Amino acid sequence: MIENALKGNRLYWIWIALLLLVIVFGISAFSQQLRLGLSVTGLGEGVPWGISAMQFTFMAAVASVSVLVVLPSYLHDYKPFGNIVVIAQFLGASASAIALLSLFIDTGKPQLLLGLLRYATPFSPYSWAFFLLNGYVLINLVTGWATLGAERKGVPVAAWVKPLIYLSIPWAIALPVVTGFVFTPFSGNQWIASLLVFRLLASAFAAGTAVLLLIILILQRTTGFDAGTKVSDKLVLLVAYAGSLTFALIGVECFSRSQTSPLLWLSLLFGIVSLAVFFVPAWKSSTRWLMTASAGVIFSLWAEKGALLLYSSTGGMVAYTPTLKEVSMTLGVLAIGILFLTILLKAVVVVKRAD
Amino acid sequence: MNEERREFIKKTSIGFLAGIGVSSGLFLNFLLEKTDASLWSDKNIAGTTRWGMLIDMRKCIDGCQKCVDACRLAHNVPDFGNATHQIAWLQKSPYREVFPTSGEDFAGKERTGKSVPSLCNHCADPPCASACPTQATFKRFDGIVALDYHRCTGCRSCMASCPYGAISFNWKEPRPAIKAINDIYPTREMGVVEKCNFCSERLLKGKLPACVESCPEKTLTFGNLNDPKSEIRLLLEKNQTMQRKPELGTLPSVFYII
Ligand code: SF4
Ligand code: SF4
Repeated sequence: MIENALKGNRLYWIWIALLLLVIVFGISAFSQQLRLGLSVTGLGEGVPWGISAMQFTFMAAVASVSVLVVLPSYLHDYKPFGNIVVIAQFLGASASAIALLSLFIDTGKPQLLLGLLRYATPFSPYSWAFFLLNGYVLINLVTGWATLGAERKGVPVAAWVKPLIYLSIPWAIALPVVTGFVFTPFSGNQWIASLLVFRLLASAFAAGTAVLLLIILILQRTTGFDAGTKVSDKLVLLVAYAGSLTFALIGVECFSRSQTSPLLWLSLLFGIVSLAVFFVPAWKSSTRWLMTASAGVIFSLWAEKGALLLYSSTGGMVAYTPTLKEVSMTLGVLAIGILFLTILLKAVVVVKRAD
Repeated sequence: MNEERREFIKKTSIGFLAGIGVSSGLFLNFLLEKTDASLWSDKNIAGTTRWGMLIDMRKCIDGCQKCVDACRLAHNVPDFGNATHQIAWLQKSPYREVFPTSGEDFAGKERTGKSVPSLCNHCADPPCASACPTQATFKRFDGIVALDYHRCTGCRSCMASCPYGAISFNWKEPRPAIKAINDIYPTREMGVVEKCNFCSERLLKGKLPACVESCPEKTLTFGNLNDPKSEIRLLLEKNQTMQRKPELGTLPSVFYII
């Protein structure tokens, strides 16, 4: 199935070339970082983490979306989602891979990361995140590939896939929470901290469904693969619900802290404006509006991660400007993940178009 | 036939797994490292050691940097001369930065106007050690929170979880920025963290920490917090002292008299 990645129209090849270009820039920046240390980034005293860590938390959260689709279709036999199960699984795999790579480029000694296999402890959120992400890439790739294979042959999915799907449920719930905890050991106000778990979960589902919706709409436009209105309606509903809860919780934090990070205000503002589209019938029936609004929700939840990470213990946020090299590296990692996803989705579209 | 094949696969896979385990040192590690649990001393248990320090700010001279310099010298701590990439095990900072939550907002200059030496508190319940994914930061039997520079992956989880900002990261290659390299203590590499080790290498030889020894005013007192007859315990008994951010429950082993 994978050989289909080598066939495609002009648009496809332009897209691949673009991704490769971004990856090359990223690799060149990373090789400089290996030589000169993390001093090539905008990080420093009081700012241990930056955009790469933001990408890590965001993508780990997005990855958990696969469960929202896989669960209803496998366990509750909800038919319409059957159409996009594979897409959600591959998105889960690629997003976790991006998260892992973002972690990789953000360590001082990436060559020692495998030491985690030996010395990991259950007390360290970072250990958890590392293991959960690795496992999630595997689970999603294996179940996704099995689903796709079955679909191609027109047979039901093999029985051994189901236990793996069950296994992925606690995984998907743990991922956004654990990765969020890596960065929030002392986030000040205690009762806000207690709301954090819910916010991490809600925002993960909102971000994940928004990304999935965006991907499906893009596929619809570029490849003619149509998931059906029932699917996109459901996803719109999910973004609307998860998004409302998320922005309510972000609102609570914005209005109850004396000094809220400006990024969180930005997130709230963008979020509410974008979310409105998901509620107004006339707007949500337009693909263009939906795409823009999904992008808005995604941006807003990126900013939310930023507020979480660039939190300063004295209130407000720390002074941090990412450098060009840092941006190249982060985008490079993103491009690697998108390339991976593109190749997987290419196989999906070909199989779907065949039946 | 099928049975045999299954048996074969089972055996080879067990062998394979064992091979991985041995080659990664998993089993060896397990056999060699024995810890005497009774030596762990979170609480003040007589007979065990919990090193601690008392800093008497009544004696400390403003503007004096002797302890800071002694520390830099003793441990090959680089000096980059810029705030972003700076590395410090021990430093002197304004009172309000060291005690942001002490509630002394309206106290007079004589108490809060001085810059205060600050270092790793060697907390009895250190959040940095639990955050570390490789146990490169760990608590020793004598209460010292130590660091294994060879195991650190440079993930900076410890930095973010230390509420005192006591850990520094080597953003650059440190060696060129060390003024005079000594061969008593190893230098570090780019990409790992470092922090105060309570001069564990000197304690081993029966010496006091370099900062304690270097202070002409005897501002710093070092000793075993679990020994009721130690000098530090007697001073703690007689004086009103404070710790940094005690409300966080990290149980610092460094105390201050202001
Ligand atoms: S002061 Fe910071 S680095 Fe030192 S033991 Fe406490 S938490 Fe860890
Ligand atoms: S930076 Fe090093 S010592 Fe600190 S948590 Fe990461 S691996 Fe542990």
